[in-house]
Amino acid sequence: MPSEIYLIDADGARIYLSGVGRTYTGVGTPWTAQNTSPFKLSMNEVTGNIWTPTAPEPIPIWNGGPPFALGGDLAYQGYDNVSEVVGLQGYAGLFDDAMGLGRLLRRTFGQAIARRPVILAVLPDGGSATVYFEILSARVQELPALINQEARRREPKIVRWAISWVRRPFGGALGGGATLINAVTVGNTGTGSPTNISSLGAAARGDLITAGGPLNVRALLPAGVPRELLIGTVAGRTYTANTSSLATSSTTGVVAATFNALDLSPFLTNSGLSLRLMLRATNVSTNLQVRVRAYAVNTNTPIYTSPWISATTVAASSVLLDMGGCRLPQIYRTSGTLSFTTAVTVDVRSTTGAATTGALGYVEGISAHTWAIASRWDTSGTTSIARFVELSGLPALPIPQRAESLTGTYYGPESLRGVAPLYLPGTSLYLAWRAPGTNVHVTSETATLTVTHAPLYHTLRGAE
Amino acid sequence: MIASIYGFTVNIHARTNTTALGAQIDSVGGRLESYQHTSTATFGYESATLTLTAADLDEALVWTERLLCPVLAYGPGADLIWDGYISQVELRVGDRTRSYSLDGVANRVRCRYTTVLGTPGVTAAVSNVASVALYGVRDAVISLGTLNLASAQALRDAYLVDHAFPRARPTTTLRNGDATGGGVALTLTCAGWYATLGAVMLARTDTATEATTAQLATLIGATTPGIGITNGWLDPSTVEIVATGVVATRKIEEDTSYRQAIETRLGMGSTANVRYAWGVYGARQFVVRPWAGATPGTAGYRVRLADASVMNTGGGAVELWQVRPDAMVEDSDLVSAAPPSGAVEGGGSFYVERVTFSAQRGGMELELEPSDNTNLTARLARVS
Repeated sequence: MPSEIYLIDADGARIYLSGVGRTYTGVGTPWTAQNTSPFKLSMNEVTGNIWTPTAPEPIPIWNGGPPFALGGDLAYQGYDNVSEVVGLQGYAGLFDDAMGLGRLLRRTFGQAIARRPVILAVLPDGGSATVYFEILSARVQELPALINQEARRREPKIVRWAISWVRRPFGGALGGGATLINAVTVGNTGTGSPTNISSLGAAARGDLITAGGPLNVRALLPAGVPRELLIGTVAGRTYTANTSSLATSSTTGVVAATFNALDLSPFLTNSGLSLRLMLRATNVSTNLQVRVRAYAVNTNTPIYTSPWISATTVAASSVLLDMGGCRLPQIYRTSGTLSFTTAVTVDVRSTTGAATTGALGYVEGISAHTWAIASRWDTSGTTSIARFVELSGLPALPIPQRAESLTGTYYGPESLRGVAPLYLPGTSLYLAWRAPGTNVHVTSETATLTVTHAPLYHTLRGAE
Repeated sequence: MIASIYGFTVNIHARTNTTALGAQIDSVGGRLESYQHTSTATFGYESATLTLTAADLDEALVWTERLLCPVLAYGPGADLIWDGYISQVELRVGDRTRSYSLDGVANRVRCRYTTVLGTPGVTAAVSNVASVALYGVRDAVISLGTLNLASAQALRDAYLVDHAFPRARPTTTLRNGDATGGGVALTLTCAGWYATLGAVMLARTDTATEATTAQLATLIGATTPGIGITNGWLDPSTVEIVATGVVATRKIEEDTSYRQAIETRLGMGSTANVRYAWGVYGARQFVVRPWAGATPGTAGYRVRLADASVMNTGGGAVELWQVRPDAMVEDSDLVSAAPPSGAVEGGGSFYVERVTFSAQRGGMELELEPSDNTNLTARLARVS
């Protein structure tokens, strides 16, 4: 079977570019089937070069370099859209029919803004898994031979076009993403069962899974009050219970607790990880502020000092506080180090000089690849964080990250800050939620979590 | 788009007249073409500039109605990196630009004048209620020459009509050659909340003396003579304000802005003769502390020649967008002799007065400026 290469327009109709070159007589829509399509891809120097999808070019951002360093470090890397030229031939009975074929192509590509980008489907000869790209912009240009030579030839008229198009850098599969976590119950605490960690498993596919594959996350949270979801792709999490008192009248700050229990050994082999510290406290007063300082054990200079964070605006509540974190890039290069443990000091102060109340509940030390906070103000109980389109009939391709209240009903956009979760091998999804603004946290609550993944491909796709 | 590379988020919220954030009305992180923010040691979050392309003209025009809307920028770790409001919107369509700015807006106006007999006078203030509801109180005092009261009132009223709302500053070039195309380019210029202290004036006749830092707490408070009674955008909390200010009179001359009054007082330093660093940072909270130059041997940040990394003294990474002013920076590659006792800076370290962070498609940049930098923009920002 020959390769199948076709366009899918905004109505879902196909235009086979890899047809047999059957003559178009101005009647019907023969291009919707490969064995009747009047189009043929060019395959030689006369008709146009053989085409295969061009791999997107990485755009690296280098950090440092000569003369002060032996080469620069890769700080960031992204990919731009792909521009390429495809040679195409059309066969028609009359000149006007031939022009009609060109018009068909231009009208199809022209849907990109008013409706949606055209989809390019590519299935190589012998393959079984089609890859789909979105074409954002295209120019359809007849070759010069038409106007003074080929236009006057007898039937069939042959028109050759050079189509210059710009498409998205990656191709994907059609329809919904692959399910990685399906309606799993997760808890809102770092211990017991269910807990707030869910493995992303090993079912993800595509070329990008080691760089960060896009995930769509749907969390069905307890309804009735607005929620703020704290979510990250994490390599590990250490839970440490601690019930130290957080009472003080000091306005400058005193040490409330110190402990040495956070194992951050994943940092030894993953320079891309960030330390993240979460803190639960109970019965806190509104004048309480908390700060953490993280030290490498047996040192006295913190590797991270958080800002002072107000515990809550609701007196006597239990709260979950995101104390922030930092990267530890130098650890990666200390190859002789076999373990890495962080000591954490919790400081407290009163914003008013009156005595604060409260007690620690637990501290979580998280080694995070990504971290994001999604806040919603409706009470629907659903949060959907999307990184790719997940609609029947459309390829699962990346979009700018967003968060919405969305299940069967669309309630509205949510505030999303940070980097939405990405798939990485061997990682888990960390999930916790609290009331936005007040930080009120209920450990007995559970949520239902579903995570899907979009396999992405640089060029062609094979079944895997 | 830089967001797919760097992961910045910039959220826009609806205007309110309090410290509470209004509903989020837009998020442009994923559409930014460039981002820049500045912070200084005597201002806090100072300015931010965002450039993006509007989806269409309709969207571009919506932005012109968003002056004073809060802008919060977050880093990839969801950490707040800048907090302020939209102070100017410029849109460029082809050869035409349209700019709308809060600069020059005055909605509570008085007029000072002198009668033909040489007697100084001042009119009562008149306000534009609709403008105040949108943009808070913005004072102007115009001074004119020899006039009588009626004339001064007429001029005052005319000035109010002319300045109560943002005026468009268009440039329109019509030409039939070399016309430029392109989309609708938007540039959002944002100011830190400290700038709002310069919009309102006060006078205080109380001649009692009090520590300057205690006076500051009063001036940012929600009761008279605090700015909170007119514009309630600043958090009146004093938890980040040290209490070591020198004792000075409370008296404030007529037509003095809150900013001038505050800077006059904090500029006196502490009872230990130490300069202060101050400004408005996250959660619109006022911060006053002894400047980092008071302890020059304590480095806040370490940098090195080999790369563009910043670390704290514990070895933890400080991302470029997280770096703040008022810190001693130590250059790890420049080992110098210890500076003379009492000197703030030596060959291998310096005090950072101003920080400029920018990100665009080609990468990120952090500029650390010392106290005596000659950058004209920086100087204007500090004195304006």
